[in-house]
Amino acid sequence: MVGIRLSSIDKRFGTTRVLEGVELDIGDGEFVSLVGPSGCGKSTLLRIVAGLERQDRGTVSIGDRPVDLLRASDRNLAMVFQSYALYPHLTVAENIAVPLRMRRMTRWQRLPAVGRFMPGSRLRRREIDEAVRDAAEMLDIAHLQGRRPGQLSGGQRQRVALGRALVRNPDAFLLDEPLSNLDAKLRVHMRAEIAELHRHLGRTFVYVTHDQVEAMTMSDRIAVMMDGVIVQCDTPQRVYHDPQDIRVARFIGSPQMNVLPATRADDGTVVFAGVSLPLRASAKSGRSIHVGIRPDAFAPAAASAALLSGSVRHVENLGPEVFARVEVAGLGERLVVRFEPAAARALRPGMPVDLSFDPARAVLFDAVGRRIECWSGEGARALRALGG
Amino acid sequence: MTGRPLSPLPAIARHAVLLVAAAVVLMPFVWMLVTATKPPEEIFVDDIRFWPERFYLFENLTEAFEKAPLARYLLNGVIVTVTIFAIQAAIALPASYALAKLRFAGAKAMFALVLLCLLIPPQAIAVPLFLLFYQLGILNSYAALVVPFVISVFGIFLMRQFFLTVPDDLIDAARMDGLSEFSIVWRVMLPTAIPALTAFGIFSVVSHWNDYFWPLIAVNSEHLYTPPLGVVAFRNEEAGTAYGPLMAAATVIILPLIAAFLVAQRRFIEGIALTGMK
Amino acid sequence: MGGLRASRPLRDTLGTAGWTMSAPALFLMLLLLIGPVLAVVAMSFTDYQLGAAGFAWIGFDNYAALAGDRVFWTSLVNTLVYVAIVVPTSVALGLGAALLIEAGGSFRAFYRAVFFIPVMATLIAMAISWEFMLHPQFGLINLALKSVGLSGGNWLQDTRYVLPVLAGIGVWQLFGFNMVLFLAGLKSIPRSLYEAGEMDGVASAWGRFRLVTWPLLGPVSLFVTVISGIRSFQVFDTVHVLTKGGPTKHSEVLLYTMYAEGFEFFRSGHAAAIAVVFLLFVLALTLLKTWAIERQVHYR
Repeated sequence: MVGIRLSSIDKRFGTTRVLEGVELDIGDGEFVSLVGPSGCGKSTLLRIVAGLERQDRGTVSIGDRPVDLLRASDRNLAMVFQSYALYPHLTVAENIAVPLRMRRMTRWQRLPAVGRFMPGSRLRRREIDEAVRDAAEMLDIAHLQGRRPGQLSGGQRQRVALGRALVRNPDAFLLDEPLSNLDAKLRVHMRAEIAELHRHLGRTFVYVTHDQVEAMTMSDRIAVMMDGVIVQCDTPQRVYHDPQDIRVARFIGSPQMNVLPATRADDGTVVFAGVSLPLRASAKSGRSIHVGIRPDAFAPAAASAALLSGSVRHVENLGPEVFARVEVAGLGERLVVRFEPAAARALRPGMPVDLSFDPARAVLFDAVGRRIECWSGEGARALRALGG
Repeated sequence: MTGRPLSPLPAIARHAVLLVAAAVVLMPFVWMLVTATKPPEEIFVDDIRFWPERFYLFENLTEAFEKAPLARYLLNGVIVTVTIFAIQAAIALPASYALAKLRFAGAKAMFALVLLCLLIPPQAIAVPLFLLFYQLGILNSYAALVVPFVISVFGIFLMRQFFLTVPDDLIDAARMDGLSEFSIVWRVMLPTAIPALTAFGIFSVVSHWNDYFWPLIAVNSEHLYTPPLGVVAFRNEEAGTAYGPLMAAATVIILPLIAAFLVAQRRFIEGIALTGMK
Repeated sequence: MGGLRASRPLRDTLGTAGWTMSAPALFLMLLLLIGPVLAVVAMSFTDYQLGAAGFAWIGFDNYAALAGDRVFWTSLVNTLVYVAIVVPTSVALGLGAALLIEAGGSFRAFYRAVFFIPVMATLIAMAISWEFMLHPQFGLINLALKSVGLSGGNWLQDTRYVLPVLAGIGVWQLFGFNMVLFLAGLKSIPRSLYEAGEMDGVASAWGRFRLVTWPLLGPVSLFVTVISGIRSFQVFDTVHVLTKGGPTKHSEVLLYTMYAEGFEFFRSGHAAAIAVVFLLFVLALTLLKTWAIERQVHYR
């Protein structure tokens, strides 16, 4: 079984700490995304797995075998580069064939012109041609085999890069932001194709991206990285609904999660802008906490049942959903609230609006951003009714 | 080439090879300098002696400057190269601006002519130019040294390529401000073109300081000799005797360009690479 | 500037400005470049000599004379031999130096500067230093050979050695220039290609060179080769200063012959014919260079 395990990976460039104590366990056949803002270390981590960079400390194991002493060319991994890195002087077919030629043919068989006369060479070449054709057909580029990269579109080049990776049957695939050079529509299309490819091949995929939508839609698990550390590694659902760190909560989800600065009253009630919310936090949370509520957790409410009130400042109509930016007392930024198109018809900039939210969907973080436990409570609501 | 630092053994091998090559390449310079520091009796000896017993550099230099008007040669070099480049720039800048930014009838044809002229090696036209100057009576003068080169099609080509990259908005804004096209060249384009102009200048100065063929043809009075002519004249006169001063003179001749090169290395190499890629 | 100027449309103003700005350049190109080329071609069909009162059109006689002139053929062959030695050697050394310099991280600027200095230094002055180094009795080279028990030849006076020795000086002067061009070419190879090669199983330096470096340097190599060809074809300085074409015409090169005909014997018509031959060769090489640049552009 070929999983990948990273233990205690440290890496610094000069005086900058790029990776710190990174631990990651990727199962065989799993699709794991490394996602995070620019500079978080995700590409460096991928290159360390590939063997293109050497970590300062820690081990990389592939299939339970430590590979730290192995060069990149010996690790049996395939990599798809952000720039595709196709050999411009070779045709598509030749590009895809390179890894096979390197591994299956001896240097004598590879000599130009005379190589074809070496013993065994013809058989090898036929095998390789077949493998290349299969890969090209799988990726729907068989008709482009004779062209050079310079004559291909971005999407086509991407497929050639994928072809070059999968023709070898490697233990795992490493993809470094492969879609970031494509236009938006193509990106959406290729997302699905890569996910399907993964399902078809059943191999381990490690995918680096700064686009959280890509990570969410393609992965079995997402590893969110910030400042050289994996902050949370979980399924997309859990990362979205159950973020363990405020940075994860802010990074995942579009539009961004709303974060309200609140305080914890002595009895545990969470108080925001003088209003008690139906949430309780444990004593060890400290006094100052953050409440995270996603835009789609809000609902318009009657004035008496409203938890938050404010006035609409800006309305964004996306078609199937509408986002309103609401100014709320006590909050520096505008609250982003999602509305159904029907309810949204009545929205106008400047009008007052009353909101409530599902307490079960709220997530609490302490002053430094760690997730804390939260109870949504009858008790809390009862307090409110009493005017407390 | 993968950017990884070399492990010790290949690194040492690399330095070994490069250092040996560097020694071979520098040997003529080193030997020239060393010879310039030796008195006559130490120069024509039967074995290799590196260091002079008597440090004779100043004497050799003095003799060189006395026997030949070295300072004059250097001055001529400066006068000729600076004049050539100044006029080249004065003619090339407006022309390349016009070709790059102004649409006028015949612009395409003129640029084609420029490209055609780039194909012409200077030596091929030496004979008719010589005859022309002979008829005009300007042979054996500064004019003879300067005039053939005042048109630099290479400079026009280089500056035009550069000017093409200047955004049109900048120029339109200047026009809105009331600048005439002529002022635009000197006030707007020139300041932005300093890197390309520097490359052009380096190419021009280096090739004309070192030029031997045309000055050999064009002048025969000593007071007009450019540095290459001067040092050859010195050698011819002192045939075989005053080697120390000769080497000292040669050192003096090459020193200005080499010193400039060492100071502004990056500019030089970028400039030369640029000119090579034309 | 008040109000709108009801004058000629902007396009006209620009058009005139365009002409006035390029007129001097145009005039000088015709006078100093195009004109002389036409003149030299025309002159090659005459028997003009400097100082003569008139001249006659003699058709291809000059060329016929050249074809039958042994000195001319020797000169041409020598030049071609010179080019044949200098071009591959200086290209190979330039490439080798560039590869070695790029391979490591230390002292790059130093080596680059050292190898480039001969390109900058006035060739005439350095030729005189070379002359002294090549002196049969007191020159550094023969003294060095003597110290290891070998006897050196009379480098510039021996008919067997003179052309290769001059070629050696030519290589010394030229390869630094090629090195700089190759360095620029190497720098433009994206690092990710080497990494892709690594992932594809290319582990050795030679493998990297064959898969990535050499193919991507292809256009640059072609360009460098042609430039070296053009420059070495123009050899003159060292010949005029060191050997004057001797001994017995063994270092006679095309430009030297043209110079002698035109400026020592003042047989202008004849010299013009040689100049035309020279021009045709260089033209062919230059057109090759232009074609090489075009390939470079389309390659990526």
